Amino acid sequence: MLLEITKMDPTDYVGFTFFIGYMAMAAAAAFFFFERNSVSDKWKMSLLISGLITGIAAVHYFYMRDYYMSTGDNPTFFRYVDWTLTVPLMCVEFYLLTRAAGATKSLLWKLIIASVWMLVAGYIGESFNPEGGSTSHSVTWGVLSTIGYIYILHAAWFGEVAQLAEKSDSDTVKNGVRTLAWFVLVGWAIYPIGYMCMDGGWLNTALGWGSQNVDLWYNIADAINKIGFGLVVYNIAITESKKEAKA
Amino acid sequence: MNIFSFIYLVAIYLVFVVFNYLQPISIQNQLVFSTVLILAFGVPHGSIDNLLYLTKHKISSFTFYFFYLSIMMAYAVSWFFFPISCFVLFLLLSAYHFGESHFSDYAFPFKWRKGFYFLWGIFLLASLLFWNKAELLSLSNSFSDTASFNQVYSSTLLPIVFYASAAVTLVSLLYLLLQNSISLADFFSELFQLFILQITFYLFPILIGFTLYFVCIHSLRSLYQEYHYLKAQEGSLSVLKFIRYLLPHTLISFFFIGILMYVSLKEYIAISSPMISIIMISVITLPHSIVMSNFLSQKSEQPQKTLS
Repeated sequence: MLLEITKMDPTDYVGFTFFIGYMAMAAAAAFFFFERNSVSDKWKMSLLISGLITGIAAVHYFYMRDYYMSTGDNPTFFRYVDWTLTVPLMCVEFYLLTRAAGATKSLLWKLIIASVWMLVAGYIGESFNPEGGSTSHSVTWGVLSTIGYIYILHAAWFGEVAQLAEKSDSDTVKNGVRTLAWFVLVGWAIYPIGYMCMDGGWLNTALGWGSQNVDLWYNIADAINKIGFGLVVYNIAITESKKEAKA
Repeated sequence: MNIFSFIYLVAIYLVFVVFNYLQPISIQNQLVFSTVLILAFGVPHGSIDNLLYLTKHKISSFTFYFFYLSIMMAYAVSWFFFPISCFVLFLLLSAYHFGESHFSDYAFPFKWRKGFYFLWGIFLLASLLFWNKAELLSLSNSFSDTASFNQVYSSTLLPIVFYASAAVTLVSLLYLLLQNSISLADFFSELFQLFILQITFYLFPILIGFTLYFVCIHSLRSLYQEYHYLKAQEGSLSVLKFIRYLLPHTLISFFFIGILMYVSLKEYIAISSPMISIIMISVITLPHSIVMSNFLSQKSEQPQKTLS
């Protein structure tokens, strides 16, 4: 499909971010996979997950980029397939980081269920939006989706994840989990901006932000969150591995 | 982000939900929302000023109540002679009180900390007025006695105070960070709080915006600190018992608030209900902020007396 493209509009910021997003995700995945050899065995799984998150995203960005360039539409289907795989994996990162301090499988499942809830409600909100857009549909599913987000936010800042990080004897883990919690608070909060730009969405109707902005916001958020999340985990892994090597 | 910011975020989310289903939200609904929350959390947070003060100072209850009520009376009487000055004093006093309460968990070693508290509070209130100026003017104009406040809302000073206090607050926070008076996490936490406060003051009507701040960030924080202070004295203090401590003065306040609102609404007195509300809140705020300033500055000190 991409071979048919002869010229890119220099003001097509959505297309620009799709290309940037694809290459950045692919590069980050390669980086995390290669860097697995630089960390101790204990941290290899964390880097594998970081690599998988950005790798899966890179493949989906490849498809989304072409879909967008060919049709000019929002690749909502691919977007949610990507998130359904990568967001629970981000929750796995929380579990892996706090496992040494006593994180249980039940924490992992609670986070996964909350993230899937968040995504399924968001998918229904976006994909089954009536022709021309419906504010009540957008808001109803947006509100339901946010319940999952608030659960994860609470867990990361005050709940089980935060408490386990506090119990950890490593300052790197404590600071790392806190940084990831900031990603959940600020980075993940970019997604609702995109969601509310769809036809009938609150930002669409109130401020006139068109549905073409949906992907721009999602691409920016994905780049910040997926790569940023991975880099924080990488920093924890490499710092802790060096400490273990010295000990 | 601290727990109060989290509660604030969740409250914003809930209000956002209500707004979308009840759009457009009427002024009556806003009044019900604000009144219920302020009565439920705002009034109780100042209802144990006597306990906070008397456990730290060797004075009798009579002396405390005498001075507390005298200050209230003097301020209430002043409103009849200098309403604009009293209103400006109320804003300035509230600014300091909010700022001092907001940073009460930090141990700032520098001498200008009180100036910083005041500055932060000025920025908070200036934001509230700045983003809601049109609504304030419209609300004030609805009643003859509150219309005089328009000279405050429409003052050319307001935008200057807003931008100047914003700039100085941000620079001060940066300075505190560079001086290691606050950590990087606290710095971002404070910036985040200022950001969400600005967003809510901009997006929501003034009553909703103020109530969310006043209840979720100010009153709950005070109640939390008061509970822990009393619990440090009385190890067995339960939440239920704490509520019992809050109840007497809260109920007395409800009684007088009810009477004053009744006589205003029935027009037995020529003061509008918004004006009565402003006077009541300011009159309660003055002695409360004095007690709280004393309490917060000596929070770490041992009490002089015990509760029992």
